[in-house]
Amino acid sequence: MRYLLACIAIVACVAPAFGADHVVTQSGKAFSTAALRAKVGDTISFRNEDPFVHNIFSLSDVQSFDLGTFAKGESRQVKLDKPGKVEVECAVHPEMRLVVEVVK
Amino acid sequence: MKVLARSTPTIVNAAFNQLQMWDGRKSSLEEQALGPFGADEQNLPLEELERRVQSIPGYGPMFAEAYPGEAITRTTIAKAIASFERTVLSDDSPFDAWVAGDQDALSPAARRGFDLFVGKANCSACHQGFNFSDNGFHNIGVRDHGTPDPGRFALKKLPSLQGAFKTPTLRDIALTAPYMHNGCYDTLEEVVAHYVRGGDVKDHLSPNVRPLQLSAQEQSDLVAFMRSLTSAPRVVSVPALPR
Repeated sequence: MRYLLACIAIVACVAPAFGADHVVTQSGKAFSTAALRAKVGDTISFRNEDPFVHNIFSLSDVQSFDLGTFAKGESRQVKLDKPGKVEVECAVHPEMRLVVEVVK
Repeated sequence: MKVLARSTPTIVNAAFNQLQMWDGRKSSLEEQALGPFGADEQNLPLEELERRVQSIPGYGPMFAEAYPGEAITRTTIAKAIASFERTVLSDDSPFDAWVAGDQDALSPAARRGFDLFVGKANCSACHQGFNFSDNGFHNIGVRDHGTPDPGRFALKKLPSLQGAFKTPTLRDIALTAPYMHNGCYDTLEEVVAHYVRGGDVKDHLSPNVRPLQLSAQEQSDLVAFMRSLTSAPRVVSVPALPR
């Protein structure tokens, strides 16, 4: 029991360092939010809830990534590693846009 | 004569496109309107275009009325062309009559085709909404003649955009052959056969495209549905060109 409590305490102390995970869904050719504020070290999980494929990418100066194309029910995750404005788009559907303000 | 790599995109319902051109490189009809004056199409430098229109007296009052306070320039010429393009609309096809409640507007074959379109054939994954386009970009496995066309990848260097082109409207599709970005098919039957094969080039192929199990009857039904998207011809008065 003492060992278990120690483990919980350790996890509780360490967990914040991993950052939060922000879930953003893709439905009806739109992100569930158009703007997001997050901290460096946080992650965003993108989940496709449309019956067709989506893509996730950013060509922002702050951070660029391409999470590829994925089908309904699948998710892709990105870790935010620098402060600044990150513009996220879907390559397949250009009207889908999300602006993430990443702070320290 | 120079044969270009891409087929002329339809201007039917182009007013509803969020981006213009097969690769979406133009963001408005005004921007698009000036593109074809380049060397590959009309070979008419914009300075010469402006000079020619300015030299025709009859255009002066017409432009002044349409664009008060603005000179005849490439900007107002583009506005005028784009304004015309926005009048080229297709929205009263037999399919529209059927949607509005006329049960007899569609043949049984076209109705079966519509069921396939939104179901088993998965066409509506990309051809969505009233204009039958998601305004998106997809690689559908079309084989190019010679060097593969990079499509939208030329604008955004993302692997999924390699060979990807804009989803065209299907409105009046029976009137706008040839089909695909390079005009490789002359008939809608060939287009359906392409999708039944699941495309011909598999590199960077959209996951939306996969081989289909469609009988000859079902393929014919899909074509019947697409033909039902043809609106009645609109009467257009041929204008007397200004002198």
